[in-house]
Amino acid sequence: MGTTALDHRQRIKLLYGRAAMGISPSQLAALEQQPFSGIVEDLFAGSAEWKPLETAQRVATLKQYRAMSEKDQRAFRREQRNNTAELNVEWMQRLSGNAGILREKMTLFWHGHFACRSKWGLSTQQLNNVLRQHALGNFGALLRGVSRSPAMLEFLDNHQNRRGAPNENFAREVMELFTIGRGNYTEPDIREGARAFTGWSFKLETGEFVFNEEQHDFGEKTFRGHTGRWDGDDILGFLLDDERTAAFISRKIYRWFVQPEVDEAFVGIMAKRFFGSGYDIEDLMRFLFTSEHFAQERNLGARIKNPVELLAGLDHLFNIVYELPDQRIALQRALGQVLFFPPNVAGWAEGKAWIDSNSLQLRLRMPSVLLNNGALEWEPDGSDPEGLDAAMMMDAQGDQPQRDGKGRVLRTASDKEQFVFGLPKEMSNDGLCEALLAIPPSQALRSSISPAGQGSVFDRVLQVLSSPEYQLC
Amino acid sequence: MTTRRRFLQQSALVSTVWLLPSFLKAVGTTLPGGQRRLVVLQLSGGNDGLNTVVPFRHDVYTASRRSLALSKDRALLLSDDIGLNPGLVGLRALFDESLVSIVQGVGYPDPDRSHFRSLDIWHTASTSSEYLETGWLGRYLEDHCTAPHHVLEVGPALTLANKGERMKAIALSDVGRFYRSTREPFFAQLAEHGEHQHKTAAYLYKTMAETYQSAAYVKEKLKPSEPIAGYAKDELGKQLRTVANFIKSGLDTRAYYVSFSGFDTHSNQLQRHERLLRTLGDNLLAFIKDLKAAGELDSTLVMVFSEFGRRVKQNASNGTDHGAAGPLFLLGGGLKKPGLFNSMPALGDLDANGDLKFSVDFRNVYATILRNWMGADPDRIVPGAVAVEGLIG
Repeated sequence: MGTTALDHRQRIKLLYGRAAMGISPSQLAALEQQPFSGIVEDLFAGSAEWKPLETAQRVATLKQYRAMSEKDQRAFRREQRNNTAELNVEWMQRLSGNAGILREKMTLFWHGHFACRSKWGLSTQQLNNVLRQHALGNFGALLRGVSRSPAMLEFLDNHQNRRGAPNENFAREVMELFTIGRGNYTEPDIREGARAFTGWSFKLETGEFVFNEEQHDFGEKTFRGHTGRWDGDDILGFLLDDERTAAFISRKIYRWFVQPEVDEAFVGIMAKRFFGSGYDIEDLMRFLFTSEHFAQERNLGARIKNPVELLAGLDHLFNIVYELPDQRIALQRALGQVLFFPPNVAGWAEGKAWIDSNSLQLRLRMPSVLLNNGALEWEPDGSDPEGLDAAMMMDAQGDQPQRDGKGRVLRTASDKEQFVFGLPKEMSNDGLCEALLAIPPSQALRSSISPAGQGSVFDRVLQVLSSPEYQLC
Repeated sequence: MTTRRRFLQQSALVSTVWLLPSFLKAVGTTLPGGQRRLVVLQLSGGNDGLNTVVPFRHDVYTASRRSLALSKDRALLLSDDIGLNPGLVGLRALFDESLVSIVQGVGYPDPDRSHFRSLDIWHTASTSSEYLETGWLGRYLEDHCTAPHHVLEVGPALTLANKGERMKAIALSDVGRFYRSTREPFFAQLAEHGEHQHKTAAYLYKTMAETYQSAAYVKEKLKPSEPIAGYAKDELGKQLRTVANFIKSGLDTRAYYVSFSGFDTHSNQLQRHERLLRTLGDNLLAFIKDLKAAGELDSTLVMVFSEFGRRVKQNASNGTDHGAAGPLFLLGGGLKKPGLFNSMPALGDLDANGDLKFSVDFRNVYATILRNWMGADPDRIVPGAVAVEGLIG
């Protein structure tokens, strides 16, 4: 696999694998007739507008919350968890659809970059909408929005960052993970930066940023050679003025959207352009997707779909309806990626980190489980104190799944007929592989798929999807 | 309607040709470092160390724990001023037989009080300001082992501690189920014959093949387990019995991993905590006896840890909130100093949150186990850690 240029069809599949959640055979056949530049423009045009995620929220001030009885506090926390679960389900639905898919995919990328957990539904929603609003906008505006979000400020303890008693967590992660990256700052930078962010706090009940003057350190700070009475905005400005921020973000975008093996020369070109445009994300992504560098054979299948991409991709193909919406979350949990619950502030590891013996077994069975009246059981093992834990176990023998009256058997319905109807007549197995996989099938897979005359088309589709190759995009 | 069973049956129609791809290698070879093995038991949720290893005479303890303090009458005395939680009857019996080393004040600098972050730190052996993507036993597996099942987790999903970059351990709760899941004809076919020129696809096929082989190895090696008295009829009892059975069957696994949850005792903790510790102690006693009877105790080291201890001062709900340092238990063979290994961190010198300050870095405990017990090179697995002298030989 090398630098060979892709043909038009391959290029569209690659684009949709990375900028969207895959492409159905019928969608692919329709797009094939259009020029590539038009296809890219349509993706951007489809994401020009943005609509916030909004679910009903009950809010309380921290003071009200603390005044509640223990029982009420528990009920309140449960309600907050339910809010977050609703947000999860609603976002998964968006990620599975066509409307604004590029923006949603970018939001997923930023969700891993500005990784954050919050106990509070409203804060979770607010930060997610900041990511969505600026997903294709200006990175500086995105960074400033995130830095003012109650969810992130609380997650990184900045409400405890006070004059005379600094908490450096927020300032450290802003530099290490959000902007210039490890190795490009010093401990004095962190100390001085933390002083500048003192007093950046929030009101829980409204999800609003609050600048707490009494807690702010108005003294002089020396940050990276600049001396003045800096506040947090000044610090973010200095970090954005550093070209290494553009390089750090470009490299991360490259690893996520192109290849885990970074071509530093090309990242250099991206960074220069990104910095020169004043951090215009849309411009950078358009440049990337239309570049010859992107349209190379070496990029095909170079990305292991993360669990959200795998689930949303299947959902996108088959319009899966979950009778019990929370089962969407249980599946994410079983595969190791729950929206709004990144493992830590560094986000999900991605790539090979998704694959172990157990997760691969589960991934390979996911299509038949989701689309074929899946026999899948799971039992919460209680190890997650946040209460979203549901460890799943496959019933390998296709035995009757055990029902325990708590809805723990997966229940889905899907548009199989519609999918098969959209396929060209008399589709060969090679044709199915070509339409559904990012790379050619292994010899073993080819010989494992039922011959075209035997069984239904859908069974053959299922076999193609139940492969290691389908894990890649 | 098409059923899943039919899909699998159909795939079975494909003719079977038994060709092993080149990367399938013999498993079950003897590993360097003899037959010694480690069993890690994780107490999830943050175990209240102060009510586990109890300084019952200390003023700060009794004053801070108005409704939770355990008195001298209730504690199982280990010394003039230290006792065990009354639930830990089983552990006490092991302590009396010099089969336990209690390391107190285990933690790390700048402790994190979030469950998931602190577990992350324990799993990856990182500092509290760095983020690593691989676990310490995963790195051990990658550096020193040849098959995924050389580190085995008994449980539903694989913990980060057991994930390396190129190789990851296996998690299973039921050998039969795990084996069968690899033998569904369609997938077995791919595992046996699958090869791919594409680098990433090749990695996936290799993982499938290794899983397939490890499942066969474990299934074939496994001897039927006789019922052994003493294990509790709960999840932990079941898991430890499974581990004992693996060991007695002669698996070449070097490290086992088990988790036991429920320690997040924010409210009404007294009875609940005692119950948790009772099942912990009873199960450990049964496990150790089981291994001893089989002659496997000297070659087995058990490490019991939790992601943090709890705040010294109890909260308003008769429970305790997240704290910092706590005790760690080592059991079985190789203990150089059974009993109380060190003294408790000073109760009069708490950190700004009112938590115990650590005196032993958990990474140094890892390094000790890796170097002195597993015969591994800790410098590559836990860089910068220094073995604790006199702990394990």
